[in-house]
Amino acid sequence: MKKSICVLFVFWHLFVLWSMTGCWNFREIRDLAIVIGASFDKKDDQIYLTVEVLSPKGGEQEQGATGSLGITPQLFEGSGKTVFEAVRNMISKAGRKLYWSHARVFIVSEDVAKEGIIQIIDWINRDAEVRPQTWILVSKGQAAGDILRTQSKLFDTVSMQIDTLLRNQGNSGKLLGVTVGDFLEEMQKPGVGAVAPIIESVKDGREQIPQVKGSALFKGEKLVGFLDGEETMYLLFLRNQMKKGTLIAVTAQQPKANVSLEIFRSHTTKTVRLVDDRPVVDIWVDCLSGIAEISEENDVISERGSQKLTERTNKELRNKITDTIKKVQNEYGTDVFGFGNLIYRERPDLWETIPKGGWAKVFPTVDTNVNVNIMMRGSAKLSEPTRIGE
Amino acid sequence: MTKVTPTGLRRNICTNRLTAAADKKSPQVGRNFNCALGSNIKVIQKILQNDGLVIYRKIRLDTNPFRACYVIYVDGMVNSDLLNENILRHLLIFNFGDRRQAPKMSFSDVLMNRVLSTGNVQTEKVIDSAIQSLLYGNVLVLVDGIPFAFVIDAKGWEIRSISEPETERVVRGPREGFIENLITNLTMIRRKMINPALKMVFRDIGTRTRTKICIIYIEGIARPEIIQEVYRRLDKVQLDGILEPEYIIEFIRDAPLSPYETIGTTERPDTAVGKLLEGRIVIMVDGSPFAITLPYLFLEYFQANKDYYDSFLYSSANRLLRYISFFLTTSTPAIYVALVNFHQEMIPTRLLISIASAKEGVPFPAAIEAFIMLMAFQLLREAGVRLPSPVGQAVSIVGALILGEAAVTAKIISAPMVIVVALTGISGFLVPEMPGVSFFLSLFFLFSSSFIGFFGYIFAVIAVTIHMTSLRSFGLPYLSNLTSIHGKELKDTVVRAPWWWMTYRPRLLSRDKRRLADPGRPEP
Repeated sequence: MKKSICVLFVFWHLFVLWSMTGCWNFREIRDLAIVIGASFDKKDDQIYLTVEVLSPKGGEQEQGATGSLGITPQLFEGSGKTVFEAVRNMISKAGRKLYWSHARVFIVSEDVAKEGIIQIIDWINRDAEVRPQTWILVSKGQAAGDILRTQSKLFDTVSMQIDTLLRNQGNSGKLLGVTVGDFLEEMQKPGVGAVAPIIESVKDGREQIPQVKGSALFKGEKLVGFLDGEETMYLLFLRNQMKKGTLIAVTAQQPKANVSLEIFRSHTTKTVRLVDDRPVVDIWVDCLSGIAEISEENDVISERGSQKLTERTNKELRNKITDTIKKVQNEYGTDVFGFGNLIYRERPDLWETIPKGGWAKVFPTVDTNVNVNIMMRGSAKLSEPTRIGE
Repeated sequence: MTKVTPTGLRRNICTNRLTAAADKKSPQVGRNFNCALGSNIKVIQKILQNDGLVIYRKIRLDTNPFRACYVIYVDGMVNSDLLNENILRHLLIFNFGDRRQAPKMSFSDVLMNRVLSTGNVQTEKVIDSAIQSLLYGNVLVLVDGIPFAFVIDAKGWEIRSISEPETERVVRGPREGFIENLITNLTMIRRKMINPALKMVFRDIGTRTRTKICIIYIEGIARPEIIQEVYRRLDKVQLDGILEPEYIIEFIRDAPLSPYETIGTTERPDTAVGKLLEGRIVIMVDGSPFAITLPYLFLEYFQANKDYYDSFLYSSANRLLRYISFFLTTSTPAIYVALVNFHQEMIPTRLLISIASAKEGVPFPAAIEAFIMLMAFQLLREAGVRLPSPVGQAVSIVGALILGEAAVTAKIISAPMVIVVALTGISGFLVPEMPGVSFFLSLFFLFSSSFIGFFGYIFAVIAVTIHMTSLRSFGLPYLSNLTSIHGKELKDTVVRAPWWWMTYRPRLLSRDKRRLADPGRPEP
């Protein structure tokens, strides 16, 4: 009798405990506006926020393109003095609560980036719903909201296209996708400048479509310059982020006959040493590649030809990389290669001697010594250049 | 109530020796036969008043002086060939006066040794025991001047033929199942285990029905403590009628309020013998084709007899499937509700959009939807079980296809919920022994997760785990062997090891733990 009352008592308390929670954090899906991408512009000290929202309309939509969900995204705009205010102001327009957990892409306009990106990055990292794994991009020369207004040809939304693109960036070798989390980490690390990819809207036929190309360089929280696609490739080599890509080499005998090399694997090591009390960074690029295309009949496959091709490509790649370093050092002065961080990690004693905040002055004077070693592996399915009959 | 009933009336209804013996005032009952046939018959007839099935055949034996003799039996419960040929015929034609046929024997010895030519003949002095035997299908022979009755085993009644049990079908394996006759069932077990160590102990249980039960175990394998405990618990069963093993199970099981079963049943002799060989005890109840097996552990839900008849690789895969299906059937609705209502960030974007567009226009929250659908599924299941099989199929088709489809089209239920509940239901059928458990657990988990999402689900899982860990079945931890950290104890749990590798029986279950004299892979 007593025991059973005890058990009932416990059960009653459990029931009350549970049911009195008021369904904490309960959200019906139909009350959510799922944000898939957002862009930040700035005008007159007001932040203009454009969000791309997925709005399911029930099962009646037409079936879209392959792999499509048949959903037309809706754009909402809002403004406010701060990002958070802009987000909250948007509810009055959207009607539903914006749900940020599925956001894939944040696009920041060039203007905002030049003034400083910190308030956006801070909100993204601070808010509970927004994920740090979201991609961040900079729109060059255009309002960021216009990027979201472009049309995606194969995807339901522009944001999904950018997301898929940056996920598969490895094959192009000219893209450097950066998530907000990584961006923040690089911004905070000593001796590294952050990088973000550039997005532009380009005309394709009659439609405006988004294109991701090159990278934007940040000094601290401010945008300082851009690198184009090819320079981004060398940046990838320097940051040891090259996965797969193409190199174009020219052969010695016929300077105009190009040979495309496919990069299978690449690894870059950087070390720092002191020469006359000045830091010199040694860079070794080890790259495994194979011939992907030979445009004219020339000998690049025989042992001798292959060796010549390798030597020439080594030299060319070394020059290009050195040029990129020089350009960044002289024009932008931001250490996107992480030389400063290399010193910070490998030679903390040396880092101590640099006055706080003084790395920006030292960086342009750092000497680099680039070594490239390309290893050739085969020539794809054909073992000889394609010959033309007499 | 018994106090109000007049003793005479009660005596007429009941044939119970215990009750009757306790009844001190009664003048006729609980006593022995005497030499006067007439008074014996009167007593019997008084006790069996208004029982039209009992037949009294009076014979005048060929003796000098003649003696009267009664052959008493219950119509339909005796083998009439045996009765006519071996009892009545001999009694009628035997010449008791011929001393050559019965030299120097007492009269009862002559009957015993020369006349009654059946296998099992016993003598019974107590009237009530004799009536007990009579009602069980034995033939009573009462002779004038002999102060006891001959109890002749001539049982024979209509029984169902042995067929494959509906509940535990196998593709490969024996096709016989228990039937409603206790002795036939015991012979089925005995045939599979030709060993004197197989012990079968009979008991009468049920104060009114006097149902025969048989406790079966293998001496040397079964643990004596468990056998003693079974006897102790069976002694406490004072129910008046036992029609099915569940009547006993609910009395003798551990944790009677738990949804988990701590005593198992089987309808197959091969399964029963398999359990016996693991050191378990089997109890057969007369009148039911189901055998009780105990102790019953959690992992037995997932051990099907066909696991041992198929290749061990295939069986192990099937076992894994069953464990997965147990997880699915208990947790799918809860996890779905938690994801959809609380943790939308955990759903992949495309799936979220699919779910969102399916839920657009559905008026209920996911938890209510899940509850409605689970209930509908249980309704259909119960309807399908009770109806004759052609109608049952029609019901399931109507339920599954038409009701589900219509509910989705009418936007009462979202399509993903139909999938979730269908998955719950189908995976529940993979472990058919535990419909109750999986239903209760799925509701409990659903309830918890519908209030605080995954936190609630995890709390509920913890609560259930604590409950399962604290369960015992006849002294054995309910989760034993499944949670063991010793490799040799895990050979027959989530996977089934090949027979040549299963050296030991379940550790806590058996006395003689070694199963295999010479373990190891057989060399060709």
